[in-house]
Amino acid sequence: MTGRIFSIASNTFRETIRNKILYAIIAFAFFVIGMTFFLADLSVGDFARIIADIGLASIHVFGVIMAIFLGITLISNEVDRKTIYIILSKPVRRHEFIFGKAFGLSITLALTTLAMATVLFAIHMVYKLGGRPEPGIFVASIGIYMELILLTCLATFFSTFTTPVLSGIFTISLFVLGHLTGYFHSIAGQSKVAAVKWGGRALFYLLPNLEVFNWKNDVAYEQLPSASIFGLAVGYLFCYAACILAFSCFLFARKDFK
Amino acid sequence: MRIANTNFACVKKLIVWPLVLLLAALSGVLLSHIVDKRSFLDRQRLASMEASGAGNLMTGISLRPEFALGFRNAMADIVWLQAVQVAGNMKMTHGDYSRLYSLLDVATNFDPRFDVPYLLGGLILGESPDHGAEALRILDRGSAQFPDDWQYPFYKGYTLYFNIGDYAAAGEEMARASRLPGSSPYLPSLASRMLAEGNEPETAIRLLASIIEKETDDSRRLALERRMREVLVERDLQMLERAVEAYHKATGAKPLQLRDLVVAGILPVIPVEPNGGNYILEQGGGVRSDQVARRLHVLQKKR
Repeated sequence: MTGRIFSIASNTFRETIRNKILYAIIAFAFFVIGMTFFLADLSVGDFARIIADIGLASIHVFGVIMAIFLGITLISNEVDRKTIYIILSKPVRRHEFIFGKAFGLSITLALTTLAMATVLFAIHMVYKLGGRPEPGIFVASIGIYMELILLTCLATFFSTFTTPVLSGIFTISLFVLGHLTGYFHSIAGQSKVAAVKWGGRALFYLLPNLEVFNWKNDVAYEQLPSASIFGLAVGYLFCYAACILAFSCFLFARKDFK
Repeated sequence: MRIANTNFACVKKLIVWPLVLLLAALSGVLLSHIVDKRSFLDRQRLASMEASGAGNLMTGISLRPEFALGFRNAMADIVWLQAVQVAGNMKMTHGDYSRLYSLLDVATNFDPRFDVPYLLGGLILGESPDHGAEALRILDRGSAQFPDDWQYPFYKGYTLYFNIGDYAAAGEEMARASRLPGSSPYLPSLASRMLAEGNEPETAIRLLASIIEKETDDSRRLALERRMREVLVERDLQMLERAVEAYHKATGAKPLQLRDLVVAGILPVIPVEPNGGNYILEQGGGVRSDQVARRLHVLQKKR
């Protein structure tokens, strides 16, 4: 079973890494990250902070674009090209197909995130005013990458039952809501209306909490997440992504391709 | 036929190239007009936004940083860069200072740990005679965020002294700064001089000189040096006005020009305006600098 998942994953990786639009997004990301070098000059004091903050925000934004753009077309491309019939006619189970696809895209995103983080690390290191090697850039990028994996799983989930455009809209909505769950929790805590209280709490636990992976705001203060925070975030990602992929497999297993 | 063709080519050269140059020049002129018009419209739009409160959307978002979608620091940096552009204006207006305050407020809401906007922003806001309260508010927020940092009470004392003119409160803040770890040993004497000598320009110049000498941050030193020039101008204006009064008492007439004070032997020389401008004698006997729009009233003696 693992071998079949790996072969689908490696195929997906090869397919996504050859995507020309991916290169266009990466090129633009490098350009924006490179521009932080000049943007920092506009500041007064704390110059390197501008490079780290804006650079990490760029990695985040472009990573999300890549994850959503590639994630929503993972299944639909196979259906459109009718290659799904060939794959599923072989001894490949549907859940193996879903896991393989998500895993393959995760490898692509790992590579692109690493490339962007390395460029940012280099720019931060060589900057003339207060530049230094900042390992926090890589730690924050790991957090961003974890968020991208979750978004990939969500995009895969939506693409099992709806069109790419709707999958994109749903995933972007969950990206926005995923950063607002703390707000729902505080509303639930403050409200005296039982429905709002319980509804807010339900949303807090049901929606993906993407803020648990957000460590980029601490890089400027050289405050890396502790091992326990890092471990809890990995555990949360594993559990939530497994649930989403399980739902995706469930829906995909019921899909009729005849 | 050939001659006609050659003539036509010459005429073409004579007409086409000047025409191209003319069009290029015209496009440049039009562009500069568009830029002027648009910057005027932008200023009007900003003023109307400030008046209607519509520009407060960003403030609203910054008060609930969850809505920054995880980009709190990046948003704080972008707003801070905007604030730097506003503060970089050589001739800041009242509206510029108000806009600077709201930008500093937003930047520090997004990222309360960002220390530069509190200190530098507070210092620059304190340059405006009408924004002393806002400067103190920004410095107070910084002080609440970094209670052990001596620089916040220090710059509060500075603002209270030079902007508000509350020498007692300024001295108390300086004394508070002197009790915090890392503060300079010269602060206790600074505090006592502020309390004792109040609005003497010479005292202010000595205080500023010692502050500038110890300041390590280039941007803050620039702001302090600007203040130093204002204090020097105020000292000179007070001295010139006293000389005009002395001239009036001695001769029974007002001097026609400042040079008359030197000729009458009241002053050995007319002081040099520190901003590179000139001191001008006004009709009523008052003196002003052609480089400074508003005098530093906190250093004027109450009559």
